[in-house]
Amino acid sequence: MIRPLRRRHLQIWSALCVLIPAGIVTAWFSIKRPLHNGVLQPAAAQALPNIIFSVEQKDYVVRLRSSDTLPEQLEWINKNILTVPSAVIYETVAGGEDVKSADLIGRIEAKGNYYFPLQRNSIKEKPKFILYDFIHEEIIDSLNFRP
Amino acid sequence: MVVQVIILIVGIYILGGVLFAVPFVIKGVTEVDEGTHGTKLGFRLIIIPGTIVFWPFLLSKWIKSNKKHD
Amino acid sequence: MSASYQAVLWNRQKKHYDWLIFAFCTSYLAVFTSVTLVYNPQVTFETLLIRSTSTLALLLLHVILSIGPLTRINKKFFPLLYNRRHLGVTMFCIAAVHGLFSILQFHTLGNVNPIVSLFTSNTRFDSVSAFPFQALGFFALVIFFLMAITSHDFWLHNLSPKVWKTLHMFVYLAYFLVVMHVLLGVIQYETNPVFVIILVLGSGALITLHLVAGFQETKKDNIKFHLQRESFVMVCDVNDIEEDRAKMFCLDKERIAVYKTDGKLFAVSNVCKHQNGPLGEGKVIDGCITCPWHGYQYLPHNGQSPPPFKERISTYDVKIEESKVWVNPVPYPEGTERPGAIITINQKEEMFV
Repeated sequence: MIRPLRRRHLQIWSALCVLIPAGIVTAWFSIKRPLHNGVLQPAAAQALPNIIFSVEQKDYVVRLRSSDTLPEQLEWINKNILTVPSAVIYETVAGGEDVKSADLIGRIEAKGNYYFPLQRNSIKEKPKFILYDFIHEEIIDSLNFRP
Repeated sequence: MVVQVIILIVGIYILGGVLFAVPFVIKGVTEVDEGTHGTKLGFRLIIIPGTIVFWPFLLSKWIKSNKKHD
Repeated sequence: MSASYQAVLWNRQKKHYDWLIFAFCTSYLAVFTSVTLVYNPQVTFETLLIRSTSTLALLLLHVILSIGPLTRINKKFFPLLYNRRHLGVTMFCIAAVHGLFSILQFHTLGNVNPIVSLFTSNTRFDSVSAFPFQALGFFALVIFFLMAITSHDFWLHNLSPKVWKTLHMFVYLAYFLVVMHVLLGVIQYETNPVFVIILVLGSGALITLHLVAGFQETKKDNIKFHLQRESFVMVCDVNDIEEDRAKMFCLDKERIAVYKTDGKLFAVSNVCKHQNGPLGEGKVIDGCITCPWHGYQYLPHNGQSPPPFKERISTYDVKIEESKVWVNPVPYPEGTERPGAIITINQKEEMFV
């Protein structure tokens, strides 16, 4: 390697030494909070005993579940593979339309059962769940829960 | 709209590259670089993607080498 | 070397190297697939392919980028560098599968051109958590593509080494784009912190390696040689140099390699004509100075590649006085024959005093 190139390498990596950690920190802190302790994989959680409310669509069944001790739970059963491969679920309150102010609950993809613990007291707040395509930035479906 | 126009321009550029690549790998390459005399088919095929991308540069090199020979 | 081109230069070592890459990649994909199917049996083929290829390409990219500084820290890593290009092209192919299937999976369902959809479906450039991260991956892939298609020596010669090297330096921009692609993409939507941990460890290791190697090299370049006499500079003792090896000294702008072979010392430019490899870190094989990067060879006394090859490097005057080595940093034109400096028995014996 020639001397100017050695110098250029060192300059580039000195810059990356600042940029990459800055990127990691920024990205980490901009992750929507509820996702930090959310559960994605179907096998990782089990259904709570009581069904509070249930909505059935063509491709999926969505239920709000609870138990005496644990926080409420969202059960999402994909009957078929979603035609949108990049879907996440947001929770907001009735009338809320914007995902920016909604809580990110988790991500769903293949067929199967998904269980997500919910942070807020959903029964009282008449929750609304938004199925959202984050690649195309489109709302695919809105589910209003009115127990 | 802007994206569509850019994609169209890139598409035309690549089409130009594809058209240029055919005569270049058959004939032009030996005039531009004497090290390519007698090279086999494998080598000619492996430089095709690069030829499609860098075709204006190779075209000017080809023209220059032609002028030198004249 | 540059007598005539072949499609791929395969020799025994390179074949071993390539089989190793192939075996590693296939076993990685097999293990990834099996583990995913155990924990998430409903996963679709496309998703599995997108995820396995993305992680494999990222892993290979880290390996590729660590080879350079590793060889500068320890010569033992040179064999890894010898065939780094094949590793690079492999990494591009795997990343391309990831890119292609991601576009198929995410952008071909609508009636918009998939590439247009890639850039227009999400335009929230002001957001961090919803940033259009796919565009970052796309641009990184374009850089890897340009590097892969120009990886043949034909392009090195015809684009000129300067342009070629500049183009290939863009790999660092591509690496940064890939890191941001992962950070703003999968990390924003996945719960598993393992992605962040792997990325922190990987990029941390790379940054450390490059900075350590970089500062070491700068230190070597900045060593001052104070003893000067009639345009000659004293660089070291004759016994500091091992037989058939060299020591490098940066006397002016660029390093000079002083080789000891066959009872003589020869001084030549440290810069290989092929890809600017460090000739002084190589050794004399079959009477030729052999570059540690890709095995280009030069005769020590005149800096010329043995026929039919045509590469030539600068030579320098070197002399020995009382076992001290003196080098004149003014280069002779490339390929000029120099007599070298004969090492007398006295100078050799001083080793054992």
